[in-house]
Amino acid sequence: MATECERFRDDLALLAVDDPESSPSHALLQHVDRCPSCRAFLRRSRESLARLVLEQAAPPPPGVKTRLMAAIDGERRNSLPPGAGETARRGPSGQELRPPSTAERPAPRSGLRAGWQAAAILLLVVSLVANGHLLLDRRGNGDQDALVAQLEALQAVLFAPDYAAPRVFGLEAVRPGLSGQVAFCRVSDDTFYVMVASQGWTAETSGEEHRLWLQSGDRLIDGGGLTFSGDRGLALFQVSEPLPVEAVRLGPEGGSPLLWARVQDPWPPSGDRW
Amino acid sequence: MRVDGDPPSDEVLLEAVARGDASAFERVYERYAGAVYGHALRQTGDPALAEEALQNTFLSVWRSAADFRRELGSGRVWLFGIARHRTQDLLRRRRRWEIPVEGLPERAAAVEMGPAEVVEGRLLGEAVHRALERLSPTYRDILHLSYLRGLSHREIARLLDLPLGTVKSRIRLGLERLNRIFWEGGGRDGD
Repeated sequence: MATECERFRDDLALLAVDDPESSPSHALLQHVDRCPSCRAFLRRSRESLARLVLEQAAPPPPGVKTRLMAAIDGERRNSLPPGAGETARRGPSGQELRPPSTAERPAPRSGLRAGWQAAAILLLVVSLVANGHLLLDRRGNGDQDALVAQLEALQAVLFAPDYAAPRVFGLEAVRPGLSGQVAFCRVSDDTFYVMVASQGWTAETSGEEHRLWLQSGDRLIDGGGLTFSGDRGLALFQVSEPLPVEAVRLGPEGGSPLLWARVQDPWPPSGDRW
Repeated sequence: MRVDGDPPSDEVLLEAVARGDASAFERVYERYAGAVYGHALRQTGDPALAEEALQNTFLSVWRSAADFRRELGSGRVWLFGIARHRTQDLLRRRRRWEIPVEGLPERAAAVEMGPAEVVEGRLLGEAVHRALERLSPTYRDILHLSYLRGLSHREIARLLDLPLGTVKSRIRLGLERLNRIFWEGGGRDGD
């Protein structure tokens, strides 16, 4: 009878090479957690493969470094800490950003629901007016709650059962406990947003970056990485025209999606702005 | 063992980048820009696209350095993971899969590295070259298609007209042999 290591060994190799069409199963990840020998194989294999990349080195074009240094200097002046642009799980000094504890959150009383939703929508509208576009406040300044509050607000809007506009579609999930919503918003004639909110999994679930993907004809458009707050994820994707989106999915690059939906004629009509 | 005067490890530099240290970021760029650019160039066959991949990779490194965890793997593995994803993002958008194998630039001249880093880089490059020569073409090709060109095992199976199971087991066997060469055959360890 095959041992557990033997059963997983080919899939483990696909995980090591980061095969774009394979998403590691929960059972495989659990096995790697438990098995020092497979964990060592994975780590060594990744190190070996990284050395192959070194072998491909070529002189980088001049000017890239100057542009990069100028770009990061600009980000530093705008007080955006490294780590803020792609994930919000850590603050400026690397401290973990956690959602408020249950005690800190508003109690789920029905009398407060409408008021809280109104506050959430107001927050988004103020953000739109102030910035010209939706902006997650990732500046921190020691106040991690600002980001968490915005995430909570967006989540509240998208998950509200009676929220109809902008157009909202429920996402199908690969397993119980996961859920998600996607909203298509028309802010102006040249500003459109796809906003996706998920619940039930964290960035660390599979050890991979999870992203929003939009299927438009034969194009697969990368809508950016999910920002996580605890088990809640959020992605915002801005476009300048209503792309003919046919399907939405959330998941690792190239792997099987955890959440997805087919959508038809998703954008609100031109008079229905938000 | 590291002694005073040795260049800082990738991990130390990335942790400094996470704290907003621009000079550490510059150092990481100097150390790996050539590898990232060369890898992107081989994948895309397009210098403009490779330059975009290089820029996107290092912007991601700056912005997500706080996500780096040395207990999960070396800094190099983390950085090349980002580089591969950023390059594949661009390829997916531009649908450019034709990959020339000739006319690529020479190896990067490490003009901005310190002497110790230059020597270390050369030794490592030679070790990799020797390792690849010791790997049979069957496994060298499959690892090249899989990891360096970013093809999935299904695409490789179609390309080589092999059963899926054969491709998967060859990837595994190739990795086992490569690991044996690097880790049991005298290859230099990473940082």
